[in-house]
Amino acid sequence: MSRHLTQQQKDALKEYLDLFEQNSRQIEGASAPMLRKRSGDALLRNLLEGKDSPAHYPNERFLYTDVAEALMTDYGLNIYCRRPCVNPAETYHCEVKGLQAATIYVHGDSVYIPDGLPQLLPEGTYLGTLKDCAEPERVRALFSDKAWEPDSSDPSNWINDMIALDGICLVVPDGVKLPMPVQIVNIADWALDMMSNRRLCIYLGRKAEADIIVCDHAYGENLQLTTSNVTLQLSEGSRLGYYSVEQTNEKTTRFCNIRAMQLSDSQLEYNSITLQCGTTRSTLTIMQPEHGAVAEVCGAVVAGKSERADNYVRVEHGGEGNSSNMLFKYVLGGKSVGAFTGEVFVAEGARQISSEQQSQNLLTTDEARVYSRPVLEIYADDVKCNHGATVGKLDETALFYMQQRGISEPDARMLLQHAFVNDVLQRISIPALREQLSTLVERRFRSGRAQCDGCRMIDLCKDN
Amino acid sequence: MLEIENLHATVEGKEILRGVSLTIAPGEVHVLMGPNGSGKSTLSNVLVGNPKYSVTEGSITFQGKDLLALSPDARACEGIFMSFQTPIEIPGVSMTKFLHAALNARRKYHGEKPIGGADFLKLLREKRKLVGLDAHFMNRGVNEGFSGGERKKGEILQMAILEPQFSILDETDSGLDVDALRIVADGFNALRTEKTSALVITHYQRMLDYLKPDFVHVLMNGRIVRSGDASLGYAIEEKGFDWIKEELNSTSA
Repeated sequence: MSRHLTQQQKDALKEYLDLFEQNSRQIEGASAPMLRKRSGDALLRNLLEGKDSPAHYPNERFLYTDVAEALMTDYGLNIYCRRPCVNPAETYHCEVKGLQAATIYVHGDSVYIPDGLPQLLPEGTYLGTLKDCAEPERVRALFSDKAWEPDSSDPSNWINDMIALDGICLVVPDGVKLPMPVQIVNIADWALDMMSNRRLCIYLGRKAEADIIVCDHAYGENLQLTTSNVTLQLSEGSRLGYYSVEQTNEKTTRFCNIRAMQLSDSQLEYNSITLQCGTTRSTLTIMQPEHGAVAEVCGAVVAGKSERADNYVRVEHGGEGNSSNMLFKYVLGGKSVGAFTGEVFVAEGARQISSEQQSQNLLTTDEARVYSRPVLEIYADDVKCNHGATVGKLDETALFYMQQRGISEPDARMLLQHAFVNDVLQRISIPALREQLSTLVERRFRSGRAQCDGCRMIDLCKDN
Repeated sequence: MLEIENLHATVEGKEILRGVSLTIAPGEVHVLMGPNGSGKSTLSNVLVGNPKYSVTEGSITFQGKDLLALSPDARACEGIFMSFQTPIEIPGVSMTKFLHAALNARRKYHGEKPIGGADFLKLLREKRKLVGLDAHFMNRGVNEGFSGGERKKGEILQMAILEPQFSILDETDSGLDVDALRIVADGFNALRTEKTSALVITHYQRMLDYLKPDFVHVLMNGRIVRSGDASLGYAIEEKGFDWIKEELNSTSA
C-alpha cells in the first residue's frame, strides 16, 4: 500500500462526500434518530483537505488492507432505503443446529425483525432496529462517547458513519441474562455492484449477560462491499460473548469495525471465524479504563485461492487489574494472504495489567503469505505482556505417522489442519456453535466450501 | 507373506541397505538384530514407505503384491503396521478420533461399511484392557503427554484395533521398565495368530524371552550376515557382535 493517497483514490473518496452532501436532507430524514449526530463526513473532509485533525489515512494500521483502493469501485448505495422485494426471514434460513436463537435477518442494510421475536426475550430488553427504538436519546446516552465515535484511522468506518441509515440495537437491562443467543444473519446478494452499511449497537447493563452470533453470507456474481460499525458497551460485571462467522465469497469486500467499552469486572469473549471471504478486514478496539475487565479475543482464518483476511486488534488498558488474552490461528493455502496485528496499549498510571498474545499460522502452499505483527505500546511499569508468533508448514512426520495407520494423505492433512484450528473453536462457550463450526471447518478443508446443512438460500428477488 | 529381494535403499543420498533379502511366512516372528547404524530402522521405514527413504534396487512383495508400488496408507490398509521407535505427538487430534479414522480408512479400502461411533467406542474399551491404558488417554491428543511407556502401550493398542497381518516392532522394548515390557510383549503375543507375522527389531534378550521368535537375523552394513534361531540372539546378548565381524573378516580374507 502506498504511503499517500493517489489522486484517483482521493477522487473516489470525494465522491462519497459529495454524495453525502448532495443527499444530506434525504439521509437525515431517513436516518434513525440515534445516528443523526455524525462526524464521519468531517473526518473525511479534513483528510481530503489536508487539515490538521485526528483523521489519518493511509496509516500503519492498514498496512495490509488498502481501504481507499477498495472504495474506488463504483458501488451503488441504498440511501433511499429500498427494501428487497422479499423478506429474507421468510426466504432465507440460517441456523445453528440444536440451538434456539433469537434470529434477525439483514439483507444489504435493511433489517428484518421476525414477528414474535421481542417476546422471546426478558421484559425490559430491547432488540430491534435503531429506528424503532422508542427512547433514542436515553439509549444513545447509555454508550460512552469514546465507544460511539468513529475510528479515526479507518475511512470505511467514516463512510459508514456518514451514510448508515439504520441498524440493530440490543439493550439488556441490569441483571438480565438473555435466555438464548441473538443471531444476526447478514446477507449480501444484490443484482448489481452494491455497498451495504450496517450498524449494530449493544448495551449490557450491570451484571447483564448476552451472547451474539453474527453470520455474514454473500451470494451472486456482483461485487459487494459491506461495512459494519459495531458499538459494544459492557457495564460493570456484565458478560458478552460475540461470535462472528464469515462465509462470504470472492466477490465480497468486508470491512468490520468494532469498538468495545469494557467497564469494571466485565468480560468480553470475542471469537471470529473466517471460513470464506474475498477481502475481509476486522478492526477491533477494546477499551478497559476501569478495573478487573477481562477480554478473551480469538480468531481463526481458513483461506485459499486469492482470499485476503486481516484481523487488527487494539486493546487499550488503563485502570487496574485489567487483562486481555489473544489467540489467532490462520491456515492459508493457494495464493491467499493473511494479516494479524495485536496492538496492546497500556496507559500511563495503569496497574497490574496482563496481556497475552499468540498468533500461529500454517502455510500450506509456497505462494500463501502471512504478516503477523505484535505492537506493544506501554507507558506503565506494573505490566505483564507476552506475545508470540509462529509460521510453519504441516508436520511431515505427523502426516507420515497417520498415513502409516491407513489414513490417506488428504485426510491426514485435513485432520491436522482441523486440529490446528480447533484450539480456537474450543474457546467458544456455546457447545452447539462450537460443534457446528467444527463441522464447517472440516468441510472447508475437505471440499473448499463451508456451507451449513441448516442454511439455504432462495433467490430473494430474481423470481419476482 | 513377505519377500524382500536384494533391497538397496538410501537416505539423503547415502546408501544404507546394500542388498537385503528376507522371506517371512505367515505365523512367523522374525527378530532383527544388529549394531547401531547397521540399517535396521531403514529397513522398517522402507517397508512402510517413509518418503525420506529411497529404494534404488530390489523388490518387496507382500501377499503377492508389489509393495513398492503402493502409497504408505495403501500399505497400511493392506495390513502392514509399524510400531514406531519414537511415536510422535499429534496435539489436537484425539486418540479416539485418530484410531476411528484409521480403522474406517482400512474398512473403506476393503469395501466394508464404516464402523459407527458407539460401536467403535465399545471396541476401543475392549482393546484398551489388553495394554491397560485408561480411558482418559483416549481423549488426549495422540501420544500427547504420554510417558515413553504409555506411548509404546499406545502403539500396541493401535495394533490391536487395526489387526494387521504383518507388524514391525521397531525397538518397542527400548525405554520400558520390566512391567511395561511384559504388558507390551503379552499384548503382542495375544494378537499373534497363525496368519499374522512380525519383524521385531531389538537389542535385548528380554524380548527374545517373551516373544520366542522363529528366526533371528543379524544386519550389518546394510546386509543380513547371519540367520538362525533364537540361540543366535542369545549368543549376541552374551558375546556382542564382534565375533560375527571377525568371522566375516576371516571369511572375506
